[in-house]
Amino acid sequence: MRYHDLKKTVFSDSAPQSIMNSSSFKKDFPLLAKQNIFYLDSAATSQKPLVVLKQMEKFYKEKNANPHRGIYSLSEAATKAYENSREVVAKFINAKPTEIVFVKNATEAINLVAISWGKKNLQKEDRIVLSEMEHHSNIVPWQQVALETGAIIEKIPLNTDHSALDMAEYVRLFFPQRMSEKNSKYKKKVKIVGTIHISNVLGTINPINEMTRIAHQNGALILVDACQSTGHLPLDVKELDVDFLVFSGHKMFGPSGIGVLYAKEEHLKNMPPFLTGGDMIKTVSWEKSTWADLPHKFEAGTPPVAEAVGLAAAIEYISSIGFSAIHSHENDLTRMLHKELAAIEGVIVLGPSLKTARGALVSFDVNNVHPHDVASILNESKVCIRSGHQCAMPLHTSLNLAASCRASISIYNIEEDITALVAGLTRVKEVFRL
Amino acid sequence: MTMYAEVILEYAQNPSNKKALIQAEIISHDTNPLCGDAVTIYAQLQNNVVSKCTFEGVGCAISLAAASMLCEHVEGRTVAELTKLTKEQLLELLGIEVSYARLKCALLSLKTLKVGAYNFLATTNPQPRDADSTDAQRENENSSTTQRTFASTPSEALQ
Repeated sequence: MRYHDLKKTVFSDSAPQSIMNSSSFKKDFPLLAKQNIFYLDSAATSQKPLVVLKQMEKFYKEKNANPHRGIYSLSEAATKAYENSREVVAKFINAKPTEIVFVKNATEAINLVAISWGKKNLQKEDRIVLSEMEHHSNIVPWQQVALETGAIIEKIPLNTDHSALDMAEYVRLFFPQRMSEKNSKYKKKVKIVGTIHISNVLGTINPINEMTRIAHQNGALILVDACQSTGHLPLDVKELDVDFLVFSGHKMFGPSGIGVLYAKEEHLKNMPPFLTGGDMIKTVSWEKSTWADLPHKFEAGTPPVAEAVGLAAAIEYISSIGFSAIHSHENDLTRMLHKELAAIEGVIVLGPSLKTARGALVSFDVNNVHPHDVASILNESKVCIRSGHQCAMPLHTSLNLAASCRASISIYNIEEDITALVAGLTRVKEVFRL
Repeated sequence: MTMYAEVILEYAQNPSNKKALIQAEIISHDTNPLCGDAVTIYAQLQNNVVSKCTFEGVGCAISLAAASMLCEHVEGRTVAELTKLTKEQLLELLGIEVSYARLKCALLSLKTLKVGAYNFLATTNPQPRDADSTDAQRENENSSTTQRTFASTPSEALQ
């Protein structure tokens, strides 16, 4: 089921109560089964199902060797396990295995593109367009490359109610008139657009198809940070037609230490290596080295094999449940979360209204209470939420907030998690005599 | 145990010493960008003794309560004594168990005050640097240099 079909069918109040109330998925997660906590911070990192832990343990117990090196059978088994994981990832987002580069996380993937593609392709006054709701991981690497190349960063602003990107302004960024205006600092074209798919703060789902079409019509590439959408919505890179897409394994039930860069093969072919050393070479002499074929050219050193196996197991776990069930469960709880929070006096909910589809997270601010105080008091009732600038300081500046609170939803959450949060917030107000 | 004891809330919500003292000899400002906390500490001196100490700032309850309690605590102390205040003393003053994640909130005002005190000492008592200085003076100078380096890197000021 593709996302657009999902949008038509599932963004409603229709989920069966049985799913919301039962802990049918919760029992798959050993940490949650053992600890009596209300975990509402899956957008930061998800908990891990037993199948993922088991597969990683099995790899170490049965197949551990250095892949791509040994001639012996065990090393071949490790190579197969690693490359099989790549195929699972490729299939998951409808890419070719040669287009999947394993990195340590999404941040590294963006650094790879910014440094490898950016330094080769960006020149003085070329423009990099980033959305105003970017996570630091999709801002700072571009700033560094802009410092070196002289490229200029421009932002796609938020709309007036801070719920989505201002698409008219996005289109305007490409207008050639801007470059011919007198004294315009914009003399060159937009070379690349960077955008988050689902905002980790606002929960906004950005219109990637439309943004990609506009970027491509104007000769720019597009990089999508899919950290908050992978594992929640089906992704098809061919349908989206994006040039680069990045995500982290640990936010989608996989282990930490592995992330994915998807890039169209034509781009990877033309990009110089990022990190260099062992495993990414074809030949090495004192005079020069030649590079391994794709995607190995971008994977220097012994790769995170067990982590790749864990990520593949996570994808298989997701597939076994199916996006339709995942989405329906998460969407219903997210709607409930949104409604409950908005009903509390003195709580301001950020992001789109209930009428618009949103990611499985809701950020909020409690009037006159610092988010860190909110999170500390909630912690006393075992409610785990994110508080702070959420790695999006520029966005918080635009929202005129120093920080905010965020509760995020995954398949293992149940109504009780939200009830506990709401009760905890009542306690926050009591403590602060509000 | 809760960090939000009645006394902490009282200090955070109704701090009697939250105001600017623009004529103060020590005015020190610092921020905790990760939290959005910001504090300015004002210490008015008489013969190098703090006669009045106030603060201004925004932040969480823990950081505001710590700032207010610290200002109260240091009145009557010498500037040299301010530089010797420790993290343990501040936590004792707060009287609550501060979780690891919230330590930086609790310690912001202490760090700010100590940096202010060090800077005050550095500008009012420059160390002799002539060639005839005795070994004792030189040693003194060395330790003072250490102290000043200490003060100019706020993250180390509390170690």
